[in-house]
This record gives sequence, C-alpha cells and structure tokens, in this order.
Amino acid sequence: MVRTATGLLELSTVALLPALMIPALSPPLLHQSYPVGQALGFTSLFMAWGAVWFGIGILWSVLFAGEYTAAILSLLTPFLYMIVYSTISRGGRRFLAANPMEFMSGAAGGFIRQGWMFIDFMPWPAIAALLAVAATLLVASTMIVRQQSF
Amino acid sequence: MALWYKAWLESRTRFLASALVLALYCVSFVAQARIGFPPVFDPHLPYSTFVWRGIYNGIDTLLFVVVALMLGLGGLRRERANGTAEFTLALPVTRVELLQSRVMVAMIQVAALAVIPAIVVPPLSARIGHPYPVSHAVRFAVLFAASGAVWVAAGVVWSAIITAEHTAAVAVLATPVVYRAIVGGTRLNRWPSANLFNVMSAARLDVLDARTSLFAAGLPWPLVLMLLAVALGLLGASAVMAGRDDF
Repeated sequence: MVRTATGLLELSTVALLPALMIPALSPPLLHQSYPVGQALGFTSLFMAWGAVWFGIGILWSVLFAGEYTAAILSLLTPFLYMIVYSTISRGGRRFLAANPMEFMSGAAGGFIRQGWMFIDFMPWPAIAALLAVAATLLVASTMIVRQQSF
Repeated sequence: MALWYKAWLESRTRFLASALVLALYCVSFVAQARIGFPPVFDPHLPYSTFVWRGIYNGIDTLLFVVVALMLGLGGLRRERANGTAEFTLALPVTRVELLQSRVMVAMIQVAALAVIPAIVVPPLSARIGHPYPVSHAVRFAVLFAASGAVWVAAGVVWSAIITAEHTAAVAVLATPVVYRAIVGGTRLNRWPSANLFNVMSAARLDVLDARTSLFAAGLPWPLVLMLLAVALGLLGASAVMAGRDDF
C-alpha cells in the first residue's frame, strides 16, 4: 500500500514536470507563451495511461521474483500491447482512445480543435475507464500479496 | 559449461520474453502490410523501404537496444544485493570467469534476437506477395548483432556499477535516450557511424541505397569490427571494475 502510494506520487510528479517546465520556460527561452491549463490537461492524459502502466508494473512485480523478470516484462508490455492493439484496430484505424500514444498526445478524441489546444472538453469517460483499469490491477496485486505466505 | 548454464537460467526469461515480443512484432508488421501496403499517401513506395521503415528503422530497434542492455545486467553485485553472492563466490572459479560466461551467453542471445527479423520477414513477405531478399535481411542482422554487442557491453558496465535491480533498469532505459541526445545534438552528428541507431538501420551510411533501402554494397566490415572493439573495451573495463570488488 505504501509502495503503491509512493509510486503513484512519483508518477504524478513526473507527469507534472512538462506542465511546470514548458509554460515557465517558453517565455524566457523562446519568447512564446504556453497556457498552464492546457499543459495540465495533457498531464491528466499522461496520468490516465501512466496509472495503467504503473498498475501493470506493480502486478508483474508481485507475480514474478526472477532476476529482472518484472523489469523486462514491464518494458515489453507496452510493445506487446501495441502489437495486439494494432492488430485489433486494423493498424490503428479504430478504438483511438485505446492507443496510449494517440490518447496521451490528445489526438485520439475530438477534444482538440485548433492549434493543438483543448477547447471544448476533456475525455473524462475515457480517463475514468483507464483509472478503473489501473485500480483493478492494483486491487488484484494487493490480493495476490495477501495470499503470499512468505 | 556449468557457468554458462547458470547464466542461461538467470537470463532465459528476459531472452525468451523479448524474442517472443520481437517475433510477434515482425509477424504483426508483415500481416498488416497485406492491407496497409502500399500506403495511401505514398503509393509508389518500394516494399523494401516499407520494411526498412517498419522493421530496421522502426520502434522495434529501440526495443532491441533496451533488451540488449537488459541482457547485460546481472552478476555479482546484483547477487550481493540478493544475498546469494557468497554461494557463487564459493565456486572454484574466478570473478572474471563468472563474467565471461555471463557475457558470452548474453552475446549469443542478442545475436539470436538480431536474426529474428531475418527469419520472420522474408518468408512471410513472400506469402503476401511482396518478396523481401533474405541476403539483405541477413546483412541487417549482422549490423543489429554488432551494435547489440556494444549495447550488451554497456549493460555489463551498468551491472558492474549499479547494485539495485530497478535502478539498473532505469539506467538501461535512460541510456539509449541520453546516447541519442549526445550523438544527435553534438558534433558527433557529423559522423553517421558514431550513432549506433544509424549503424543498425544503415541509415546515412554509404552502403544503403536511398531509394530501395536495400544494400547497394557489401557490409561495412571495418565498422562492424570497430563496434566489436568498442564492446571489448567496455567489457575489459567491466572486468577491471569487477576485479576490484572486495566482497
């Protein structure tokens, strides 16, 4: 529980970095502005899929004890997922919200209109669904840990 | 031979899982080419260039690099963190012999991974009516294997420095990113062969035909030998570091 909470906190910090740095550095370095609200919107998208990958990492770490097994499986899972997704979606033509790259960049939904900015709305149902998947993975990991006898 | 078997037991999950994902990637790529080739926006694209962009210069190259680095991890520092180093050190072998066996197994594994596209892509491509020459796939496999040797050696260096399992994994992830930023953002960019990603794909090398993305000349053997020398240098440095450990 403590490890999961710490990990999620660390993940949130990493996801927040672009939102803190891009709006702050754009004016002095490039004489351009970037709205904090937009950056935070992308942080939400990053966190939604990030939480799922985090949940998968936790699950692998409680299932496998072999040397670097959890680490390599955590690295391979996104590749495997993209292979499966690409096949099911016929080369990425369908279910765009299920494509992490498209979703995290904001290009998957109809929520970007002009200039790659959020104008209308955030894809809250998809974000909620991804967080539910992440929560399921974390609950499953917790149940596995409780059953372990060492 | 027993040391090689020990190294295989320790790394087989990493290798087999990676081989499976890499093979699935190649199968999936060719299967999708059945409906996705030629691309709508580039109808005159040669199939060989399509394969080069997807397989030899695609996202799987990053997968290959990260896996090669991961295969180099392990060893006594890791065993010390696990509390098993005492058992291994009690064996009647030197630390260098332990390192040698681990490195040799990792090198064979990375060579096997490098060959996977050459085994999968040409026969499947022929089945969908777009032949891809085996001889060119084999040449790319040689470049992948030679570059992979350097990445394995870099992983071995990390394993000689880092003890914690997940710190090593993060270092492995960061290595290709930092390396790419250095060779791409500095004067090293003038020498295409200094970028291992270029070497793997043969991009920006004189040997690759820009139109077909097939080899216009033979393999750049001096470059391959230089990569093996770099790998040997890194492994030598790791052996020196391993020899200095006093636990």
